[in-house]
Amino acid sequence: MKHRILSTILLVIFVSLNLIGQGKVAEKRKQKQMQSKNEMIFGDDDPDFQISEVPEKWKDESAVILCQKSHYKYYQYLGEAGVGQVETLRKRIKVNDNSAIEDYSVFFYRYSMSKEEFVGIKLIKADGSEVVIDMSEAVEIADNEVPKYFKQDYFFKYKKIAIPNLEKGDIIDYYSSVKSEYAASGTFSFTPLVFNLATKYPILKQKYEFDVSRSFKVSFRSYNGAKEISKVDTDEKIFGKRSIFVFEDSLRDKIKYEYWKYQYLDEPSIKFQVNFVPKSMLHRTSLLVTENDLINDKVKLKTIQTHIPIQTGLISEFDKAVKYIKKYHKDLKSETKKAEIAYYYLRYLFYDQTFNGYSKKYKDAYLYGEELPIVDHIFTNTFIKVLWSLKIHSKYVIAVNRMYGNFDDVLLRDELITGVKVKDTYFFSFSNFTTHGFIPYQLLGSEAIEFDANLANKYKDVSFKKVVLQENTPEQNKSVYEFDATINEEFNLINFNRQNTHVGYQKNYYSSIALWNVDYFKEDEKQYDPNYKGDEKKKGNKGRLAEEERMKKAEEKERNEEKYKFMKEFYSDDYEVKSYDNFELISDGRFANKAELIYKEQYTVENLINKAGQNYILNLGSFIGDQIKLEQEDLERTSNIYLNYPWSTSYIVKLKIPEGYKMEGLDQFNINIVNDLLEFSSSATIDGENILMQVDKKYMARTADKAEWPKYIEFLEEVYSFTQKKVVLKK
Amino acid sequence: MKNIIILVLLWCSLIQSNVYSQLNKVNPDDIETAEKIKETYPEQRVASLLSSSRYSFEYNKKTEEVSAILEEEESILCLKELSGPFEKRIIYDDQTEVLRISGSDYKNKPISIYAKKTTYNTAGTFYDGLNQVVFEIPFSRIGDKNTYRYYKEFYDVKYLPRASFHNMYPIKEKVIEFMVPEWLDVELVEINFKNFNIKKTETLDKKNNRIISYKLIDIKPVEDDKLASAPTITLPHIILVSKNVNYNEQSVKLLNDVSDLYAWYKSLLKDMDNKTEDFKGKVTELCSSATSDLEKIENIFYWVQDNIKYLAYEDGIMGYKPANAQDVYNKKYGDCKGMANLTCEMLKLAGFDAHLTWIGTRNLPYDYSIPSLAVDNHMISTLYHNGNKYFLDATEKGIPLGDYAHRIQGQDVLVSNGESFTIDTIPEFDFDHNKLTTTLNLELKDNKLVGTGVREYTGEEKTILFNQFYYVSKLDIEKEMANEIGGSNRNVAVANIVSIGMENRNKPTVFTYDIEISNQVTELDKELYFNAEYHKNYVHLDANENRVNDLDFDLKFNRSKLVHIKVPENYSVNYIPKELLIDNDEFKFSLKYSFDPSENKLTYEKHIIIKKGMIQAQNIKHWNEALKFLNTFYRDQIILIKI
Repeated sequence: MKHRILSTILLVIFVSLNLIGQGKVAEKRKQKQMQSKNEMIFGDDDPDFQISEVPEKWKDESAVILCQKSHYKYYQYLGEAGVGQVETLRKRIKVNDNSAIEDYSVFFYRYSMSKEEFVGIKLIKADGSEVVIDMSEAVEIADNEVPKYFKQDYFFKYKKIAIPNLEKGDIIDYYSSVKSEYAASGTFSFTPLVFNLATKYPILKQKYEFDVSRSFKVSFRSYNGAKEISKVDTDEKIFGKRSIFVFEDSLRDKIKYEYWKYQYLDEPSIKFQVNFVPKSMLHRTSLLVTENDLINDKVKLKTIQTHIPIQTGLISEFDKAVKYIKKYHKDLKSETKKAEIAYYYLRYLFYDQTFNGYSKKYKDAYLYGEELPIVDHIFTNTFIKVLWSLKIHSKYVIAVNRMYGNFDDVLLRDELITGVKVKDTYFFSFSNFTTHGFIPYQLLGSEAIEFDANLANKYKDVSFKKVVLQENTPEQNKSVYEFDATINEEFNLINFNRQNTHVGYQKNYYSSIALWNVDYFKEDEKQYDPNYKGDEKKKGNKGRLAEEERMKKAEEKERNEEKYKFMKEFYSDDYEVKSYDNFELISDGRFANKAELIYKEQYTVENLINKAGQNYILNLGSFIGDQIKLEQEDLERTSNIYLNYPWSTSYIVKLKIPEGYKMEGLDQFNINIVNDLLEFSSSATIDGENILMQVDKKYMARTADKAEWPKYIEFLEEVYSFTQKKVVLKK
Repeated sequence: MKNIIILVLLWCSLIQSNVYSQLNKVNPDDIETAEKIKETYPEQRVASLLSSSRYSFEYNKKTEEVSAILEEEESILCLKELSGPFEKRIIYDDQTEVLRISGSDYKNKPISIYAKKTTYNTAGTFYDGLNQVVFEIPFSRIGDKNTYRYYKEFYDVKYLPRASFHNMYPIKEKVIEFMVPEWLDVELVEINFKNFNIKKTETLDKKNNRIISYKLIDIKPVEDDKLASAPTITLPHIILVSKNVNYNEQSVKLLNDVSDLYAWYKSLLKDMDNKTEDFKGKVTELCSSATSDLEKIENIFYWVQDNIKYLAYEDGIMGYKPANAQDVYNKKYGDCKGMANLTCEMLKLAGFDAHLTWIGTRNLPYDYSIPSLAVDNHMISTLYHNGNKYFLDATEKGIPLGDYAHRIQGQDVLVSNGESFTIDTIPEFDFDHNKLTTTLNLELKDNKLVGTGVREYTGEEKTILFNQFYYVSKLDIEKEMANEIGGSNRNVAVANIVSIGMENRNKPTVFTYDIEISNQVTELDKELYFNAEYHKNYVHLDANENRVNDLDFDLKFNRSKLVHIKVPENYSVNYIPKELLIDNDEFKFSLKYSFDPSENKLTYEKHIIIKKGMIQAQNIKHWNEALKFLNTFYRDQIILIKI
C-alpha cells in the first residue's frame, strides 16, 4: 500500500513536471513561430508600407493610417473535407499627438497558443530606427476589464501590451493573423465582409486582398464611388487553382458623423463574401450564388426568388395554430381574418416557448421590456405552412432592407427580408410588441417581389411580380402627450399628470419603456392557452395560499419601485425629475382591438420655474422635453437624410394658473413653420384658470436630399428655441 | 402496474411537498428581521446578520516568517422578493491563498457553492497580478438566509491588510478577533474609532493566546455615494503591526518602528540596477539650454511628467520595488515608483541631491509612528537644493516645481538617504492657492447677453485643466475650450478664444473670449427678466444625509465670478435678487447682485469656496440646506422696466 501511495505521488510529480515542461516547450515554439511570422510580414517589400510622410492636408489629424492591408485566404483542406480561412490585417499608423498616443499606447488582442494565431507590433521612430515589440511582455486581461464589444467568445483569452517608447511622430506597424477551419459537408458560407472605406482616422492607402480557391463562389460589390476590384487567376501546386481579388483605395478622409445617416447608401464601401457551394448544391442553397462569381454584377431577381425561400426553420408545434383556428374559428369566412388570428396565435406560441422555456436569459428580457423579434424566414416558413393547412392562398414576399438600397444593390442574403401576403394584407415577422399589420420600418417604400407560395418551396417555374411596399404618413407613427399640469404652492415643482398614446413605429419604440416590468404576456395566455387559470381562486392549504398571496404582493411592490426608478431615469434627459409617482398601463397596444399603446403617469419636475421679485418665470417651452441642438459642425451636410420613418408628435398641455396670478408672454407660443418636409406649430390660449397649449411636430418625409438640410436646420433651431421660451406669472 | 401507480403517486406528492417547502424554506423570524432592516435601508438587496473575521498566526522557524490565517464567516439575509444571488468576491495574490470555501442554509445544512477563479485587475493599474475567487449565494426571496465561510492565508504577516468593519450592505453585528499567540508581539492600531461605539475585550485562552476582540453593531452600508471619500478617512479600521517574535529560543525582529520599515524598503532598493548611460544624453540636452540650476531641475522634472506615461505594473514585489530608471526611460512608461526613480537618477546625473521618497496619499490618514506597509501607497522624489526642499511627483502632469497636488499636501514622507532616512511633511496650501476666476463684461442685445470674458486658472485648477486638454486632439481643442468656458451649456456660444499660459507651468492659464448667452432673457411688453448665472453649478451635489463617508472634492478651491452688465439706457432696475452669504469652517457661498446708478451697471459677484476640500459626513445636512438656498438664488431674476 505504502509503495502504491509513493508511486502515485511520484507519478503526480512526474506528470506535473512534464506538463510544466510541455508548457515551456510550447511557449518556446510559439515564440519561434512568431519570430518567423514577424520576419515574413514585416519583411514584405510592399512600397506602401515604407511610406512615413503624412499629406499636408492631414498634418493636424491626431493619427493617420499610412497603409492598411487586409488579406483573406480561403481554402479547402484534407481532401476537401473542410474549408478554412486565414485573415491577416496589417496597419501602419502615424501617431501625431497625445490623443492618438492614448489610443494606441495599449494594444488588446485575442490570444492563443495555436500556431495559427499571431500578433506582431513594430515601432518606427522618427529617425527611422525600428523596434519589434517583445510580445512576451503582454499580460492577460483580467475578467473585469475585457471590454464587452471586444469579447468574442468566453472560450478565448485576451492579452494587452503597453507599447514602450511611443512618442509623437512615431509610426506603429502592427498585424494580426488568425486561421479558422470548419468542417463543411454540403455548403458553407463564410462571414460576409462589409467595409466602410472611411474610418475614425484618415487613410492614405488601403488594400483588400482576397485569395480564393476557385472552387468557391465569390460575391463582391463596390458602392458609392468605391473603385472596382481586380482579379488575377493563378495555379499553385499546394493550394490548387486560385483567384486573387485586389481592391485598393487612396487618400480617404476620415468619417463624418451626422444625424440621420444610412452609411451604406452614401458612404463609399465594399462588400465581399465567399461561399462554398458544390455544383450539385447550386440550386439547393439559400445563398445568393450563381454558376459564376458575382463580381459587381447585380443579383437577378429570379436568383433571389429561387434561393431565398430555401432558408430552413420553423416554429415548433406550429400545427397547434391550425388546430386552434379549426376548433375555435371554423365558421370564419374571411381568409385575411383567419390569417390575422394565425399571426397572433403563432406569436403566442413562439413567445410562450421563448419566455416560459428554460432559458433564464429570455425571462429577463421579458421582464425588462426587451423587444425580441422572430427571425424573418422562420416566421415566413411557418406562416405559409399554417395558411396552407387552412387552405388559405398566400404569396411569398421578399423585400430589400432599404438601409442597403434597392434590388440593384443587393449582394448578400441578409440584405433581404421575407414575409407573406394574404389578399392585400402583408404579414411580416412579429415581435412581442407588434400587431398584425406591422411592416418592419426597414421596408417602408422598399422594392419587393411577390409570388404564389407553395409548400415545396420550389419557385423556378413560378412567376413573380415586382412591387414597391407602402410608405407611411407621419400620422401613422404618432405620439400624443396630454399633460394636466399644476404648480405647487412653493412654486418650485410642477406636477405632471400625463397620458401618452403611441401608434405605429413610435409604439414599438415606447413599448420597451412602457412594458418594462409589466406582465403583458398574460393576455396572450388568457386568449390562447386552454389551460389558463388566470386569477381564479386557488384551492389548497390556507397558510400556503396566504403566503403565496403575500409574496405576490411584495413582488408587485418591488416591481413597481423598480419601474418608477427606471421611468425617472428615462425622463432625466428631458427634465429634472424630482419624483416619479405613478404609472398606469391603459392599453399595451399588442392586439388589433387595442392597437394603441396608452399609459398614464404622474411625476414632478423641478427647476422649470424661476423667481423674480413677487413674480415667477415659467419655462413653458421645456414641457416638450429635450430637443436636438445643432452644433456648428452640424450645419454642413455631406450625406442625404434618412429617417427611419415619417412621424409626428403632439403635446397637448393644460396648465392651471396659480390663484392670484396672471400669465403673460403667451404670444410667443403661437408659431407655425411648415415646408414640404417638416412642420412645427404651436398655439397657446388662456381658458379661464388654465393655459391650453398644443404643440405639433411632424417629420413628413422618410428621406430627403442633403440639399434640403437648410429646411431641417430652420426647423430644428425653431424647435430647440421653443424649449427655451418662458412665460411670466405675475402677482 | 400497481407498483407503477404508487410510484407515480409518490413522485407527485414529492413534487407537491417540494413546492410547499420552497415556500416555507425561510424562517419566519428571518422574514421579520429582513422587513425591519428594509424599513431603514429600503434600497439594499441584502444585509449581514453576523460577520466575523478571526485572525490567527503561525510561525515558520525555517524562514523566520509569521503567516496569518483569516477565518471569515458571514450570514447574509436577503431583503428583496426579487433578489438574485448574492455575489462574493475574494481577491488574492501570490502572497495569499483562499481556502475551504463553504456555505450553509438557515438550518445550518450545507449548501453547494461553486467558486470560480479568474484574473482581477484593480481599476487604475495596468497589471497587478491579482486573482479573484467569485462565488454566488443563492437567494430566491425576502428572509432567505445563508452563511458562507472561507479561510485566507497570508504567507507573510507584513502584507496583512487593514481589518475593517463596514461593507456595501448593512451589518447587524461585526466581530473582528485576533488570536495573538504568546510568542508574537503585536500592536493593534485603532483608527477612526472615535465616532463609533466599538466594544473591545481582551482575554486569555487556555494556551495563553491573547484573544482581542472588537465588536460593532448596527453598521450602516457604505453606498456608492457621489464624491465619496476613501473609507480609510472616516471609517473605523485596525492595522496590525507585528513587532517581534520570541519563539522558544528564537527571537526575530519584524516591524518595530519606522527604522525597520525603512530597512525593508531599503532591502528592495538594493536589488535595483540603475544604469544611467541610457539617459545621460537626455540629461545633458535638458541641462544645456538652462541658465540656472532651478531651470535645470525644472527641465528634468517636466520632461519626466511630459514624456513618461503613468502605467502601473504592480505585480508581486513590484508593488513595492521601483523599476530600474533606464527601463522607465526606454519604455516611456512606468508607475509612481519607476517615475520617481527615473526623476531621482536624472537629477543625480545632473549633479543634484535627489532622494527616493515614500508617502501615503491623503486617503491614508496615518503617519510613520505606525511601522506598516499600510501607511504608504505612493512614491515621489525629494530634492535638496540651496537649503530648499522640493518634493517632486512626476505622476502629476503639468504641476510646477514647488507645487503639490491636494492628494499629497500635508502628508508625511519618508525620505531615503542611504543607511538613514528623514521624516518630513509636504507643505499644505489653502483654498486661495487654487483659484478659478471668471470676469465678464456684458450688455443686453436682442435679448441676449453679449460681451467679452476672461477666465483664469491657478494652482491645481490649472493642473486639472492641463490634464483635461493634454489628450485632446489638435482639431478639437477649440471646441473643447468653448465647452470648458461655457460649462457645456447649449445656450452659451463662445468665440475668438485666446489661450495664454497653458504650457507655462509657472504662470496662470488665461482664456480671453467673446461670449453670447441666448435664452437667458425673457421679455414682456415693458419688462426684461434675466440673471447672470448660466452655470448653476453645485446644486446637484446634494448628498445622502445618512452616508458614512465625507463629500470629497479632492481639492480645495476658490471659484469666483464677476459679471458686469450694462443696463440698456431706456430701462431702469426694478428688482435685484437678495444677497446670499453662507460661511462656515468647510465652505463659503457668497453671491450678490448690486447696481451702480452712476454707471448704469449691474454687478454680480460670486464666490464658491471649499475650504478643506471636503464636507464631513456629519455636516451633509447643512451642505444640503445651503444648496437649496443656492438654487433659490440661481432661480431668482433681475427685473428691468422700460422707462
